Amino acid sequence: MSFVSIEFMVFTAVCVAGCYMIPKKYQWVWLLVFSYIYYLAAGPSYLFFILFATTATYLGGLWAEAGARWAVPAVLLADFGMLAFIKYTNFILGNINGLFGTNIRELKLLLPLGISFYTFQATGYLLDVHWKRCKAERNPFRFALFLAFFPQIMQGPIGRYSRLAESLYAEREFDMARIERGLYRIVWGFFKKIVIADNAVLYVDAIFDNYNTMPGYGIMGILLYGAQLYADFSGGIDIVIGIAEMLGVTLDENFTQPFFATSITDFWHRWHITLGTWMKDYLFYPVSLSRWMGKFGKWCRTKFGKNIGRALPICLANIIVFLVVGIWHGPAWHNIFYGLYNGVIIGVSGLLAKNYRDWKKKFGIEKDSRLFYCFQVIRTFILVNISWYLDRAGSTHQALIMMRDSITKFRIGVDIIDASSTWAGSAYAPLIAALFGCLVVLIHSILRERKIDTRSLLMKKPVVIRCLVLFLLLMSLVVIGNKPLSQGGFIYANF
Amino acid sequence: MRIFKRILVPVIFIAVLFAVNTYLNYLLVPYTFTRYKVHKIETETFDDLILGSSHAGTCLSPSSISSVTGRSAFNAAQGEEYPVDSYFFLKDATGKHKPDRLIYEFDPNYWITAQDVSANYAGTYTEMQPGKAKVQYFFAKMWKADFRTSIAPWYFYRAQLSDIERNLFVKRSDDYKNFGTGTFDSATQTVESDGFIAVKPGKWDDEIIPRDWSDDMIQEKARDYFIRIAEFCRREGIELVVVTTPVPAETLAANETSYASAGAEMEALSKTYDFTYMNYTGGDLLEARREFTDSELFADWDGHMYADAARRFSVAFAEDLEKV
Repeated sequence: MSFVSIEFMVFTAVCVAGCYMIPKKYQWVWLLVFSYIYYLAAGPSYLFFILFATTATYLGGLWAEAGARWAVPAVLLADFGMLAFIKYTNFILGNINGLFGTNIRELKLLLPLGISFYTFQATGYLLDVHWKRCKAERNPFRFALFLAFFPQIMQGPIGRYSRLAESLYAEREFDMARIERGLYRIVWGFFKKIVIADNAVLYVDAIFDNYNTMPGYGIMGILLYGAQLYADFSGGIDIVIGIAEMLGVTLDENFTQPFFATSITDFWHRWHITLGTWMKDYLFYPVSLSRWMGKFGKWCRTKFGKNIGRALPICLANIIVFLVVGIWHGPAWHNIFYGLYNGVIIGVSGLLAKNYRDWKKKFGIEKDSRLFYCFQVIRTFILVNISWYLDRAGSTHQALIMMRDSITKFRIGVDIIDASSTWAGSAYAPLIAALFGCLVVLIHSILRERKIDTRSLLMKKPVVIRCLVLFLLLMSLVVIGNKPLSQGGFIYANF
Repeated sequence: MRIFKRILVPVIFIAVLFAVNTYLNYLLVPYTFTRYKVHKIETETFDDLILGSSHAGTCLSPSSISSVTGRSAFNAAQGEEYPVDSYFFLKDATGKHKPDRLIYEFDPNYWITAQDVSANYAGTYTEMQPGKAKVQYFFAKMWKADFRTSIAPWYFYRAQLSDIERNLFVKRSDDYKNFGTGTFDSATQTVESDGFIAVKPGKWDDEIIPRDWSDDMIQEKARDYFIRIAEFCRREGIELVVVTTPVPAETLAANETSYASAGAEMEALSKTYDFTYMNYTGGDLLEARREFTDSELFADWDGHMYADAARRFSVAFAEDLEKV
């Protein structure tokens, strides 16, 4: 069910309206029914996977709470095993064929809607129960809603039981102001998706698909890809959070102005936050606090001294975490290198932290100076953009060639796309529309960075102003939004 | 009073949005022959109804066919008409006046490609009068499509601001009010009152489009809706004749296997669903009517015929039809 379809809009409107019309104690049941209708609409064959994850994790939670030591590893193996089998079997087979010259046929495997997201959400819950951070949910249907809540199932945010359960099962009152706030968030998400992402993708696809025949456009391509990716993913999340807000459910934020990050570590604290915190809580800490890492740390301290000995295990844990992030991004080597690239930068930055402090002192750089802040933001922006060559390219080879050509054959222009195929009959129009959208988002981000809640600000304005803003946002979708793309959908819905 | 105010604001907002949207549709969406064709099939009765893509629109002249068969005919075919559109077009027509025979043009290309979301995507749906067929059409096609496609079709024409003046002129003219065809007379083609799209002489620059038909490329939706057409005709007692119109010999030579496979697919369906299939891109009919594959008769390599050639072909087609 596409977010931009009439079907989804009617579905959501009926769900929201109905939620406040039925007795309050059945509201969560209503949400569960709608969540499963949504999931069924994607394809009945997907149902098995979410039912399997729900049943296994639900039982795993109860068993773990009862003290069964085998339950957590067994259910983790089942959940991650299913995800790994579906996502990575063909990647592994392809590599075996490449390495050993065999001809093992690839399997025709379904990629169920949102499997990465609900698997992470399920395993997070299980570990929280195991570590006694929350109590196991006794009601299987309530637990089913926690995993299947329809707005977030496609592309997150990855919810935590301890925070999500409260608002998911709560009895809620109709609140017009909350509905209005949710509506603004949804329309804002559509603005990002349709005006920025869908226009930028025209150039991005053309540049990356023709990197051999029309080389040199890499920098333009990667800058637009950054805009596309951010607008697509954060726009989708805005829609998700907006719908949840209308339903009285509070979801975790997934983005906080990532392009104002001052380091790659900071970037990952602002970009896909729920994945980052999941990795931190369920992978980074268990790895860095593990017995073998302790032994490794001890060995490092005796070998390299106190400072490096302390930093090296953290560096290794970061590299492991980002290796997993890379694998999570997709079954391909360029994704793995994308993860490693981030992991190595973060790891090495940790190792060199003392040196950085010394250099800053030596060159008289003040920590809080505006100039240094700008330098850090620009440096991070460049580093992030370099990583996106690996993320967007079809292969590591392509990414490396495009990086080289970006410098040696630098070119910029709109002749990369066919003007007659655009919505305005001009090769410039989609670019101008995307840049206009970026400017609006930039202004909004600056306000957000200054801790100004733009929606609260808007809600205080007279109704005419509020309606006008909503009207202009809606009209912009039609006037400067790209026409529906055949490939359609959101990038992160494919995970 | 407070509750009333709460309801009033969203109602006024939606009303303003609706009014602006309607006015923009009026200003920007031009008068197309889809409106004319939909109006004709909804208000008049024909013995033979022709449906299909632009190949049928430009190759089959109803008046030429009528001159041989003695039956009234109307050509409702148009560019980018996929089987789903033909099915609901047929249902719409049948709801008002049931034809005796459906001449359905099978263009293999429409079976292996997903429909592009362009101005024509919602054209037929938009012009249909409210009714059961329109509701079913909405749920079959518009329900899952981008909301702008059916709610704000003006957005396909948003860059054509310079056409507003002409659109307003046309929409205020008697031709528009009386569902005339004078508006469609252009340098390249004209639309005749029987729905035939008469292509005027003048060679267009075009390349031979590869026709990469293979059975595994068939879009299930296309086959499904074609089968619905066949079953609907059988249920309603409408004779079904499927035709693949001629293409230039060069196009045929370059895509021999594709045309043969597509022809075989339709041949198999004709046996299963018991209808007549007349294929001018292969088999006996191609041999018998090979004169209609001369590239001089076509406006492009894709198979759109010049009007004079199309009239001659329509007579030949009607004669073949009489022999079936």
